[in-house]
Amino acid sequence: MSIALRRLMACPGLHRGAFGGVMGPQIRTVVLRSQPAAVKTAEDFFEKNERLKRPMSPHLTIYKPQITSMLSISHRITGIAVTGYVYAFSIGMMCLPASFPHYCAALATASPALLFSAKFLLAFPFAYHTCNGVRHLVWDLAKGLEISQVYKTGYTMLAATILLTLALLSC
Amino acid sequence: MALALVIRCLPRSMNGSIRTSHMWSKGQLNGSIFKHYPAAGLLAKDTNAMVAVAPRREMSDGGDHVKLWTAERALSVGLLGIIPAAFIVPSPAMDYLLAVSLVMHCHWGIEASVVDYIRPAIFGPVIPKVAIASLYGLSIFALGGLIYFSYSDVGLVNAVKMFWKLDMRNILKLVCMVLPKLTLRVTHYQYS
Repeated sequence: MSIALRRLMACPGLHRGAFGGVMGPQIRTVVLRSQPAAVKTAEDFFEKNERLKRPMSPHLTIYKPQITSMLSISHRITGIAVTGYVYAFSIGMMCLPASFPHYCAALATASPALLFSAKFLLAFPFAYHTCNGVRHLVWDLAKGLEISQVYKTGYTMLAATILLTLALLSC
Repeated sequence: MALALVIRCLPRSMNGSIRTSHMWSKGQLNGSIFKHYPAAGLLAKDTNAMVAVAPRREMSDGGDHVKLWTAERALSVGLLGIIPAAFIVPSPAMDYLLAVSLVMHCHWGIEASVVDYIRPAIFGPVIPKVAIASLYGLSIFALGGLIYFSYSDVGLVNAVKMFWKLDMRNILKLVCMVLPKLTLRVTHYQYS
């Protein structure tokens, strides 16, 4: 643009009717105002993904079951089972009216198959948790942590569990 | 949160290392920052990477876990001895000792499972606390129940022995009859 035209543009209020209306409504008044920046609260990774309603990647469902993880979760499951038995027995006997010999005599009339199943369900989790517990205590001494040793002790523990269960059932 | 605001306020033209050294001189890179923002350690190095830091959500921060851990292992080893001893040398004292050590071991085990699975990130702030409190209540009742059982009834060891003695003769007879026949069938299969 020429210098003269620039000088004309610099005068406020000249744009609307200037140049015989030729320039028309092409020049508008623009107001620049400064504001403090809007402060967003810091959002962590999980909050952000929840807000965007994103699905979670599959994890437990796609990981191949291996003897390491299966033995480990079985240790926890058998522990919870035996704890369930102990707590149910103690709280139950506190709440029930008669003494234990009475209930034992009542149980004697149950079928042998039922009794055998009950004894197995008591003996197996206890035996498994005990044998794997020994394996855990060995690990806590920082021994047997190589993967080949983990596998070997795992199989040994399973054999010991079967033997201990049979021993307990035959008492 | 304050850390994020500080990062935003610094001009973008500064590269990562200048920004971090600026924050280091302001004393903002020490203390609890590394505890709650584990990736903040990367910011202390001279990198240009922009790291997304996420705070850890933990139910109980800090505290020395070592004593509890050692006590748990000691109790486990003790229990390995107490359970056979209680059955081999039964007495009321052994019954009480077995009750206390068994319930403590069970309680610590279930507490670890509850803390692992019933997390604030999934269940919110209230339910995990309710779960732990319920576990404490159950354990107290279980211990009371076992002590009461040993005091006014036969005791845990005798109860197990009595239950185990229930008539198993029929099952054993069946097993002794069937098992040899099964093994013969498997090992002496005749190919015709």
